[in-house]
Amino acid sequence: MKGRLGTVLVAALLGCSGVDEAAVVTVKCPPGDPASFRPVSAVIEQRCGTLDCHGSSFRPLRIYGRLGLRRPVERDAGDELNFEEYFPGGDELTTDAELEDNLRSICGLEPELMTQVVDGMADPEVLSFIRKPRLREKHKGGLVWFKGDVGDQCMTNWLTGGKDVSKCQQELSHP
Amino acid sequence: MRRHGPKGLALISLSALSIAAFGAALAGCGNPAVDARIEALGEEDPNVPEGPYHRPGQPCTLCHSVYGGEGPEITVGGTIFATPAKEPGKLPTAVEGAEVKLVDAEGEVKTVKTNCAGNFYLTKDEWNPSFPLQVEVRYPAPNAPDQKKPAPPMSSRISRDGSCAGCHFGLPNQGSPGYVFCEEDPDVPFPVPKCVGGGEP
Repeated sequence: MKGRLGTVLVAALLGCSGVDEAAVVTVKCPPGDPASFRPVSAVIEQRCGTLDCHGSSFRPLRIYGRLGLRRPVERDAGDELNFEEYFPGGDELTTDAELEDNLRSICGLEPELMTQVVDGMADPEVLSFIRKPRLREKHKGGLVWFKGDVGDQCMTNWLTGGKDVSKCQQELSHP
Repeated sequence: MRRHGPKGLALISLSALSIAAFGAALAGCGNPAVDARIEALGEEDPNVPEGPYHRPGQPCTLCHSVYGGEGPEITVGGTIFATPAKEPGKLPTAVEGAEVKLVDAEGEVKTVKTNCAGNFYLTKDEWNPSFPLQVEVRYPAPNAPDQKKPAPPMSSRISRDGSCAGCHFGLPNQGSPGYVFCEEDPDVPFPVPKCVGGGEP
């Protein structure tokens, strides 16, 4: 996963269009390994991914997870899922496939800016992903947190390569 | 400068009419996604008059909103059922007297009880909350109605849809937790409120 995801996506698109394959653009994503991303995704799932917001298939930033929309899976697809508990609020935890799709959603919003942020060439605040929950940019879901709140720090730490997920765990402990 | 004769005036009137018609058409433009959802709700149950007891399990705020145009404007509303649905398309038993406690983003608390159809609602005049909301439901124990029991907790907040049925409908599936219910076990016997299918009690 990680930074190669964007390369694969862009390469796949270019492969269909007949455009010069040498002109591939690499898009970098923040760490997507479950150890780094699962706590971050858990915060996003809880704060943003309810069924009436980004847990809706109609939203550009679509978020899957245990508390909201589940990634579509056929019952006989062979996944090792407890299908009886694979619904919003069910006991089946957010799957690795759902984590991967959440990462793609976040990276795919503003891939060029995301690359700059991951490379340390731009402040995370350039991203709508950071600006909207702070309400620095129009957001139908309103204010989620202020700049510097633990949820906000959870996101910015992750985007800038920080390994400390304690802020995410603090945010998750809020009612 | 050219002067308009009678024909010119007619043309001008026609243009004005066209502009007016275009404006009216624009003003009449709706939201096709919402229109389709309202259409999908179907006709009223002929046995239940329009009012607080009608359309249990359906999303109140689709119609009871500025866009929907039906009064009163409802900010939060839904239906509490006894147990999960047993089969697709069939409503479970409603629960009367369940207490729905809502807490908004500013800490304001509002409690409302369900009627005999299991419905509850708050109008905009009664409460205009700041989202997100937290919700808890307590219901009269089936074998001891004076005692209230907590329903299974809602695992997420309500971010912005005041209709429970905007998310909670039918059987649990990958896009919905299913109807809001009080007991997991579908065989727990609940009293059937008198007004179900029979209009007002």
